[in-house]
Amino acid sequence: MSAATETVSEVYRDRTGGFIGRIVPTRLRIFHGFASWLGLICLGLFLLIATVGRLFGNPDLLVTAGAEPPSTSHWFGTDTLGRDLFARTATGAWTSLLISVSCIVVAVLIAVPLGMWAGSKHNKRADDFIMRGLETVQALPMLIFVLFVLMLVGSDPVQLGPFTIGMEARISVCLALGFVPFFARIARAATLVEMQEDYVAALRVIGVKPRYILLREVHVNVMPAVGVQCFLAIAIAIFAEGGLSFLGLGVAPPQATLGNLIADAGSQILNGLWWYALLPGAVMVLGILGFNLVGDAFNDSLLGSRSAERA
Amino acid sequence: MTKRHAPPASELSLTGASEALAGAGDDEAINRLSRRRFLGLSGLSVLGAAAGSSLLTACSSQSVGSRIAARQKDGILQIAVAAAPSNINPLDSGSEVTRWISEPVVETLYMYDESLQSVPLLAAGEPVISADKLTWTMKVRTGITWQNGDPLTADDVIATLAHVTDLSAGSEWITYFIGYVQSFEALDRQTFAIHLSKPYGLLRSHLTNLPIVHKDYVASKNTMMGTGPYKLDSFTPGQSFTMTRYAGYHGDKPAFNGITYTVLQDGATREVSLKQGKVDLITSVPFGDLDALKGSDDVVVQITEAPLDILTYVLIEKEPFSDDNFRKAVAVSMDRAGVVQKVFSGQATSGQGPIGPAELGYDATLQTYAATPNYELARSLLAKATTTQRSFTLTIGTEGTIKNVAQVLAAGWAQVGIQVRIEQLTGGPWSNKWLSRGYDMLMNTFQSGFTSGPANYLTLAPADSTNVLSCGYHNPVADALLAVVWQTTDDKARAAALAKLDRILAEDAVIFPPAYPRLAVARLASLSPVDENLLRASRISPQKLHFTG
Repeated sequence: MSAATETVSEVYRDRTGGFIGRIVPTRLRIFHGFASWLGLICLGLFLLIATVGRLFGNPDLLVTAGAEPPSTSHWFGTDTLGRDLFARTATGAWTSLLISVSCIVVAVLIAVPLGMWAGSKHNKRADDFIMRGLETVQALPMLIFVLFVLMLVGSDPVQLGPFTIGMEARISVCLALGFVPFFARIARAATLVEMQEDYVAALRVIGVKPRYILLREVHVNVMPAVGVQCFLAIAIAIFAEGGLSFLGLGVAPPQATLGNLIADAGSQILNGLWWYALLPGAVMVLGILGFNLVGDAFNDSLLGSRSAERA
Repeated sequence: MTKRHAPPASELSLTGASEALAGAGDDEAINRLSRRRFLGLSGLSVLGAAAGSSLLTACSSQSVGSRIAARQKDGILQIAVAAAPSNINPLDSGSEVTRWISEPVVETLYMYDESLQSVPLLAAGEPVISADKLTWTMKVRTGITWQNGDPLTADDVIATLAHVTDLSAGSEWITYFIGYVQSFEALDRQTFAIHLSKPYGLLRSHLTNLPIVHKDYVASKNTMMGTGPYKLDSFTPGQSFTMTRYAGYHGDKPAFNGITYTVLQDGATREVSLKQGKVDLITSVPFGDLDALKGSDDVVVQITEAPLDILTYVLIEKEPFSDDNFRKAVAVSMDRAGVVQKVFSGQATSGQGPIGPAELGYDATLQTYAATPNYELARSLLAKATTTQRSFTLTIGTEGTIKNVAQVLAAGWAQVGIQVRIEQLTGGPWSNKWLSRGYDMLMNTFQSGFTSGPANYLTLAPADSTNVLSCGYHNPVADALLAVVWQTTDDKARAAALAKLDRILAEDAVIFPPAYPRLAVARLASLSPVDENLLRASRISPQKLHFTG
């Protein structure tokens, strides 16, 4: 066993403790420590509510005369219009998840090629051009940038052939544009490191084309770093989508998102309707906390162990 | 085989927090503030702050009654409103947002008395109308001064009329004068004449609602100069307005040394401020909070029928609302009871035609539509409809109440297979949709008391086939009745025409609002009551109030 592997094993042993170490299979040992497991549980609950929860009840149906507290028939109670709040929260969580994941996918699809290209052309004109462009976007805080783009594109649905581009898609793309600089910088930094590795030099020596090296060899080493950051970015995206919906710039009613549920609940807590804001808010916290802590765990495990390996 | 490497995490981290994790065995890194430790510390801090604030609140408790008494010693009336305009020129907008703030500052030629009859205020008497009914001649009272000391003259009235009829000025009032008011002139220092292109009986109503502003200030968007009992001292856009008593006021001396309007957009914040005695009066009381307010001994809620309408228009010249059966199916499947109960907490009347209970021409016997939706009838009407379209866009304003109304209605229409896309637009874009006829169904709340008094003439405009706001409805009988409404000087004839028109528009499913909401204001018990008759014309008249404690 190499010194690097021994170091990694010690870290696992230290952080998982004896009990978890015995019951958790080795391949799941990226989740070491209480916080990581808490994150996994939070994320699992969030995904359960967002997926399976949607099967319970109709989020738009007016089922009671007014707001009712949580009960066995309405687990999260009902809102002031008499709609089942669990059904709305589950739909909202699904919408928020869909927007967040799709925005990260779009951002990665745009940012990784840009970042890798910039990294492969380090200190050349293409690198400068890309990085200065991204810095311009980054000069604005992300939410301000997204608000600006949303105002430019408006709220009317756009018909592209058989497809209707609705507000969800528009928010996804706008958030994605906000995330592009972050992912592009990560991809560029990872590419810069890889390009200095011996295997790249060796491949060049034997005449492998630069494009092939970049797409087939460097790319697979860049993606883990990007992938880990995706979890953290999804948490930020859920938060950002919630903020946009809270400001009334999200999807149109009656479609629920976690943000517009909390916004609608607004000050109802002062009228004793504690469940209205608290429970959808708690689900949002589950999602944000879960993605954050799981992202940390991956970060710790994948990148940390590689650093140890490198050392 | 290529070795798979990853770059150092410190170079890659999105948030910069992963450096502690990068060196897995690095004690120094582990001891630094990682994301997880930060989250834990944040949680503890939030709990600590919550406990601390509760303790502070408990320690600083002071009786509400003594706080109110101490505050009211300064003789300043504190009013909390839901919104304030960016342009405070009272000539540019007839909305309550502007006019509730300008009410103590500016006055009109005629005013509503306690029985809502129009009586002279700045005018020296009743207008003299020529035999052909095309010229109205009036005098302004002598001895009245503006808040800067200048005397009121006919030139001020002419300047006011010139501003509101100038297309480039952007005044809302132009819609009430265009096509009828041809010209106006000052005949002497106190006398002026208005020349009409056709008889216009509604002019008296407009002169009872149109504020008169000093001739040098008619175009000003950041100050007000009136003849009212209070003058505007200062304001912070969107936040507060401070007024002091005008010593040279021509009428009875008002009770307060000053009035301060504070903008509190959130309904619950207004409610809590009132309960805590920080303000004396609040407007736009959230209907969901009425019960909570009524339970307080220090607070009195006043609710009255008022010209507060839910403007509801369908574009009849375009599918799907061009189909009579589709339109009627939408009207009969409207969940009026749901809107009344869930949105307005029962403080509204189920809707029929465009004219509500507080408005001239209301017919209580008109019961075209039941409060509860008739889905069976709607399905049979839809089966007869020639249009195959079963969806439409409902364009609403951004206010929370109208959003809730739209959601309740959409849930009802979904029961008969009509899918509704709700589109929320701010004031300008919403009005543009109306003007450009780029809508399927339009809905918004509108208070007409400051433009029409106890009536709402703007609501009827889209039913007129010749009006710029026409929704495409062509009915010669309706057009003739509208002409009577606009032209007669006889209130009884106008009321009769309005009632007939209301029935026609309801039965033809042209204008069918879901409900007629009531107007609610809340005040401290130590403030005298707001005149409920005047409240029926949207007036709060703070200059007539006083502290009773």
